[in-house]
Amino acid sequence: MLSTLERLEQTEIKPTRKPKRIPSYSLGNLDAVDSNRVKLQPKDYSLGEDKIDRALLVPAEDDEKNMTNWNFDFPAITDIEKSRLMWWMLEDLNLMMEFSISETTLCEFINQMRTGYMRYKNPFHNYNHALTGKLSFLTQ
Amino acid sequence: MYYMLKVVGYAENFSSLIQLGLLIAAYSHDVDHRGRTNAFEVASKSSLAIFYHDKSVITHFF
Repeated sequence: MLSTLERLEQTEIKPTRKPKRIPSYSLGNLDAVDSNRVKLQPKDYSLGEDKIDRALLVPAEDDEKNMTNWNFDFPAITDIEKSRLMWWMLEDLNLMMEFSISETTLCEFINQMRTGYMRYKNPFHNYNHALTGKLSFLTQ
Repeated sequence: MYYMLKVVGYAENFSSLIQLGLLIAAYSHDVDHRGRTNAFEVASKSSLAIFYHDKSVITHFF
């Protein structure tokens, strides 16, 4: 004859409900993912170069024509050109003069933004994405 | 955004402060984007996922 304590110990506790299934994300080999990511990258973005300076803030003749042209090839131009177009959009809407933004401050802001976009070498959410978004959401 | 303001003509309806805000928001909307999904951030226990308690990590960050 078993004592009460022993009987309790032998009793198998069955769960009344099925345990809730917790979704698990199996990642597999993380190194493989990273190597695939590098392969997707079409070009190597070098940091620290292509910084814009206030001396480069000179509007070009074709700016207005290019910025309203739906077929203009933005990925083909250099990063300095992209940064300059960022400045040009503010200049064209008279926002630089209205809020008396100094060119040095704006250049620093633009360089910081470019560094942020280049940091993770994202194939899609990169500087082209920022430029086309600022230009027109429709071409994003 | 520039095209909407300048060519389509929304600049007449918005004050210059709102125009500046719209342009800067469009410029910086995806800065520091990792290019990874929410599930990836949570599963890899990245600093972002820890900071935002695994809830809509990407959406909270940007």
